[in-house]
Amino acid sequence: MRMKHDLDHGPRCCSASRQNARGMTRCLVVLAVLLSHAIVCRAEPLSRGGAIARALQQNPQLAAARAVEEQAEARQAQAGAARWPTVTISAGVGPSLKARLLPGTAVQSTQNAYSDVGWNDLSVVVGGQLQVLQPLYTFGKIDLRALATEHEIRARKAQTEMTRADLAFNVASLYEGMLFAQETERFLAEIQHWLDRTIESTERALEADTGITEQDVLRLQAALAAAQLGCNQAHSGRRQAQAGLVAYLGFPAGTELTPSEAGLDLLPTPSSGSAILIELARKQRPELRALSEGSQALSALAKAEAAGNLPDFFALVFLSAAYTPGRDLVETRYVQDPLNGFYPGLLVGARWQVTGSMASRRADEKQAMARELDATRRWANAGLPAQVTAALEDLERAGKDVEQADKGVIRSKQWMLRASADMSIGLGNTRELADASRAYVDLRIASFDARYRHNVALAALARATGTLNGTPGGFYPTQER
Amino acid sequence: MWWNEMRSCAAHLGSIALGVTVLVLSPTSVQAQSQAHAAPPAQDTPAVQSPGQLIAETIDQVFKLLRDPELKKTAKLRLLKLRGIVDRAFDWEAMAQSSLGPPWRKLDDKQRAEFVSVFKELLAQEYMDDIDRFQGNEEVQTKSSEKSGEVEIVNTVLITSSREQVPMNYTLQNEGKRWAVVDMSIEGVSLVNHYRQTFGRFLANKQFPELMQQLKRKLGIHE
Repeated sequence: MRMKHDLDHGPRCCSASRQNARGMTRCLVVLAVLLSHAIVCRAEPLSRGGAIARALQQNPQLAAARAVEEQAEARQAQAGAARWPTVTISAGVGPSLKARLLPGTAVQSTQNAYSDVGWNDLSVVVGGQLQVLQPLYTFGKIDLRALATEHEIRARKAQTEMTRADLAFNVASLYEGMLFAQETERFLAEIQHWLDRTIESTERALEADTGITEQDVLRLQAALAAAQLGCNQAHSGRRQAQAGLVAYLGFPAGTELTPSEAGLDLLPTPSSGSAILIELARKQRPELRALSEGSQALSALAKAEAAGNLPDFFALVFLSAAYTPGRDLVETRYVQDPLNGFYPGLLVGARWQVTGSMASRRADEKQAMARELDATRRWANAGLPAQVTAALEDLERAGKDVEQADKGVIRSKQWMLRASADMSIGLGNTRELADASRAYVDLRIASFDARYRHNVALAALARATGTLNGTPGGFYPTQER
Repeated sequence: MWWNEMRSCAAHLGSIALGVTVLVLSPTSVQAQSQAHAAPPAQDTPAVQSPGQLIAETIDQVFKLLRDPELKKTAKLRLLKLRGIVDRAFDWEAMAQSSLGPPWRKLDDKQRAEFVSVFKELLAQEYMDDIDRFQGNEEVQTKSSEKSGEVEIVNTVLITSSREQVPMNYTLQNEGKRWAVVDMSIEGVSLVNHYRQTFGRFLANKQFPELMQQLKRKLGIHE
């Protein structure tokens, strides 16, 4: 603005350059706006299935779940490695004393062990030790821990599937919400346009004195304001759902999503009855698998802890070697020189760590945790029919609501049409037309709402039956067509 | 969550309904009416078209006009041009005559002429206002055309900008040199049949002059 002001009031002789500058400024502003628009509002085409497929491909929640799986796999490898020998090798170099074997005994020696040592007596020792410890029998400590980790891995994988299902359901809810808001926004924008035009024609009618009053115009203007409020709400809802989806799908903030669906159409409902769906849920639900495997892992761990009261049997091979130049070997088997010699060894042993009742109590703790998971699994199993039934009922109710609302929309339009036809020739009833119009708007919004609830209920049913996991053939689309 | 709040927006929409109420109330001005008379007469229509062609062409012209950005700014000119297009396809007089039904036989020639003159204007204005509320991004699909006795019915579906489908069926009569719309039904409600019922109810208790008084008042003619 400041630049424009300066340019407008500059000397006349510079008008050409001013125009150039103005043109350039305009170009720069347009370019900046276009660039910022391009950066901030990148449009991404999307579909229901495509959105879920993308979320399941890259969402960090899944990366976290997979990392937990990897932790369990690493624990399994650790448990497996305990079966193999433990090898300890140590080697080093350091100062040592030369030593010559002299005739006579220590009593007869004239050398002082400490004060007669000179620099010439110093040497270097190079030595090392090797220990190989092989467990022979541990009363199941190793095998049971390995078994526990196998179950844990299966439990973690099932938990990853749970995360996938939750993620897919959240994306489905947001996507359906976005479509719902888009439909509502479009409808209310249409109503706004109709009201705009109606205000125009009503003002003309007011001027022509055809029985229209100022109150009618004011009523229309108030209705327009209300439509704008509704539109704002729908717009804001659409933006919120879109922002949620952008985060779930890993798009840059500010990305505009363009749904490929024309609107909030009803997805096809499954034809299977509740008994089949409940059976399917029992087979497919990852929660049941996670709980069962978790319980088995803890039971195995409890047995392994209980075995802590018993000893471990092992075989040990050891070698110790050292060499010091200028130092004689001790040639007797009863005396060892740790700085110059070679000593192999082999033994079979037992290690028994007595910890009072600590091992038993740890076993009890793990067993109790296993029982907790078992009880939770039984409860989940008992709750499955209720969850499937709830989703089915929601689906059925939403389907009926759509049917009724759509019928109601047609009836209300017929009612509105008849009432409006009468009003247009001066024989109608204002209240009746108002009632018909209100019913029409309410029922149309109710129809959108029921469609939204229907599709979300379908996603909930897919989750309840364990089929919302990104594999084809589920009740709710989870793949790009 | 926001969508729960959205459900409650239906409550806000109550007042919108009041607005929609007046959607159809809106009488047109006398000025627009007089301009409408200046629109090209029906006999300018080129050679005989089939009913389907006539409806399709009329719809095309109407939407072309509604999409014209210049005309979006000037309501009076837009309405005038719309009237010109629609007058070529509709026989308002025949619609007016059919709408009165059995009482028509009891009227003398003067009353008949007066009724037709007033009611056809009301019908045309109402239809103009309805069309004028479209945004131009709606779509009309012609589904089928079927003969029913002497008339032919062209079935179309209007798809609004909010994707709502509204069946609109036009009944056309062969008037020698041309086909013309003599009734239209929206969502299964025939306008002619509806007006016939309304006039029947009104005239059951009141006299014809009272009816004319009401109709004229709606046109802004005060006696």
